[in-house]
Order: sequence, then structure tokens, then C-alpha cells
Amino acid sequence: MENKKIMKEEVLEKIIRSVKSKDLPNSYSSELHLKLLQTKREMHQHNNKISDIISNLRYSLFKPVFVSVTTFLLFLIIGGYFYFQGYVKGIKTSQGQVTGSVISSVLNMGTEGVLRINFSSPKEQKDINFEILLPEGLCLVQNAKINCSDKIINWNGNLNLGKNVIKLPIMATHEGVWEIYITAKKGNTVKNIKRSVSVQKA
Amino acid sequence: MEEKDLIAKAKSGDIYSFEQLISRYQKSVYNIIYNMIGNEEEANDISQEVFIKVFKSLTKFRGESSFSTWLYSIAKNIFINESKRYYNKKKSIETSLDDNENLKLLNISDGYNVVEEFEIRELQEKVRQAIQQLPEEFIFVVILYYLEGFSYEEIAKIMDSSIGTVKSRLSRGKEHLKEILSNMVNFSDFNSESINNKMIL
Repeated sequence: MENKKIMKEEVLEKIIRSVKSKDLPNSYSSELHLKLLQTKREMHQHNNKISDIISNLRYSLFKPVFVSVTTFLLFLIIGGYFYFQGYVKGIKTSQGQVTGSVISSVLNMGTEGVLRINFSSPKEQKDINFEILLPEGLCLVQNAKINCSDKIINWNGNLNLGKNVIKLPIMATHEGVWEIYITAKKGNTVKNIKRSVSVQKA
Repeated sequence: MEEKDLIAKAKSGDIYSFEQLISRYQKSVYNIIYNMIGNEEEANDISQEVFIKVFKSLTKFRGESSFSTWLYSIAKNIFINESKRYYNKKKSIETSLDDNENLKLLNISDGYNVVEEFEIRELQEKVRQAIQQLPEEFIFVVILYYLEGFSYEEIAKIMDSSIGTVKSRLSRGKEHLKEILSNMVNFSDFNSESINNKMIL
């Protein structure tokens, strides 16, 4: 009787341990990557809000010092803007018009456009990693085919002195105002750029 | 790159380092959730929620425990909440198995009793269903110990409880599991040898 009980225990444990683990779904890593990017952005925005509150507090307490620091920071921000900037530029509409260097662009649904990202660099820079995150309403066009499954586009390369342009053919698939996130990264330095594209009914 | 370097980089917001850091835990966390709830889509979302939470909390990691213990401790609350959410649902699942559906053994020429691959998969599915019917206080411990191969010590650290508590929960969990499974599987049809030979696919 006791033997039978031990046997049953042993069999039970082996049956439980026999359950095979499942492989991760194919899209698991890319989905998680998108969620992590989103989380990072949210955390960044949250930190900025906290910085604003602290800045406001400082402003009220130490006005003269604050004015000097703010002026200095403004110079830094403006300088940084011209140093390394990105645009959603030159998106073609279905009528073949070119919107030019605009921050918010309009694209008709079902039409193809070109996402142009301009980077102005004061010197040659090597090994820059660019990551472009396309929103739900926009898809990549590759070899004349629409690719809606790859929303993250990675590119690694060098920046020349002066103007650099990255062109990316895209297709508007869903109506709405969509945000494109562009990250340029070198070592520990990261530059995040966000641009809006409005997709409207044709 | 070493784990401590990856942690340092991930703390500064480097997503690539974080992904590298968690790569070895992804399958385990996904399977824990899947074995708890038995739904692939939900397991996908919830396990990713775990990693997002870990990413957000990473700056609080001081290295007082190993990263894996810390990760599973963070994940524990999500596991338990999800387990609670699914427990009522699980209770309503009926195991409509009759005698004809019990697993059969096939005799082959060498004299061993072996279970066909299809039937083994069926059995594994039944074990999963049985685990999902466990009361919430036992399910996490049973999955960690039997399916994920954690030691008593590791589970105790993750659960922030004593080894004695872990052993006790495991023992009681196993009793529950035996009861649930005995309605689904005829144990007398199995012997250790046949399981050793064919069970692990």
C-alpha cells in the first residue's frame, strides 16, 4: 500500500515536470521593444514635468540666479537645435504636391510619401545609430511593397559635415494624426525627435 | 557584456542593454503566466507588463539580491493579481473527461509500455489545466518549483517567506493537484519507466 503511494507520488511529480515550456511568440521581442520605447518616452516626459516644477520653485526663490541660468540654458537649447535637428520634410500628397520643410505634414490615406529626416552636423561623426519608429497609421514601403509589420527601422552609419538626409518611403494606411519617433544615438548621447504626420481621407 | 554592466546601462535608460539583460528570463516569465492562465495572448501581454514594470523600477535595484530574484519578486505581485483574476474563471471550467478519454498505453515489441506522442501532449495539456485550477496560494509556488525548476531557497527569496512556508505550500499544492488530476488521469496506467522513456519530449 505504502509502495503504491510512493509510486503514485513519483509518477505525479514526473507528470507535472513533463509539461514542456512554450516558445515565445515570433513578434514577442519587437512588441516588447515598442512598449519599452513608449515607456521610456513617458518616463522622460514625467521627469521633464518634475524638472519644470523644480525650476518654477527655484524661479520664485532665486530669481536673479534663475534668470542667468535660464539665459544660458536657452543658448544651449537653441544651439543644440541647430546642431542636430530632424524634420519630417517634403511629404508628397496624392496630387504630387510637395509640402516642403514643414514640421506637421499632411498625407492622404492610401498614398505614398517620403519621410525625409535632415540632420545638420558641424563635423563628421561616425557610427551613429538611427532608430525610426513608425506609428500604426504609417507603413514602410520596401521594393514597391507595403510592409506594415516592421515598425522599427534601424540604420547605422556616419554623418557628413553639414547637411545629411535620410529618406524613407512610407504609405499612409490609417486616418489620424500620427507621431513618428526618431532616435539618433552615439555612445551615451541620445537625441530624440518627434514629428507629427496627419493622415486624412483622400 | 557582464550582467552588472548591462544593469548599469539599462538603469541609464539604454533599452538595448535592458533587452539583453532580460533575454534569459523572457521565456520563463512568459511560461509562468501561460501555465497560470492558459491563454497565449494574455500571457504575451501580461509577461510584457512584467518587463515594463521591471524597466520602470530598475533604478531601485541596489544589488542586494541577485537580479533574477529581484526580477521575479517584482513580477510576483503581477503574477498573484493575475492569478486572482483568473481563479474564479478557472473554477468554472469543467473537466468533462470520461473513461474513454483516459490515456491508453500501447505495448510495443521490446516490452516497454510507451505513451504515444500525441497522448503525451494531451496529458501535458491536462496537467496545465489542473495547475490552473489550483487555489491561488499554491499555483505560483507549484509552477516555480515543478515547471521552472526553482529551488526552495530561490522561491522563498522571491516570495519573501521562509523555506518552511514554501515547502508547506508546495506539499499542499501537490495534494490539490493530485486530487484534480486523479479525475482526469488514471495513474495506474503509468509507471515510472514509461514516463522516463517517453514523457520528456
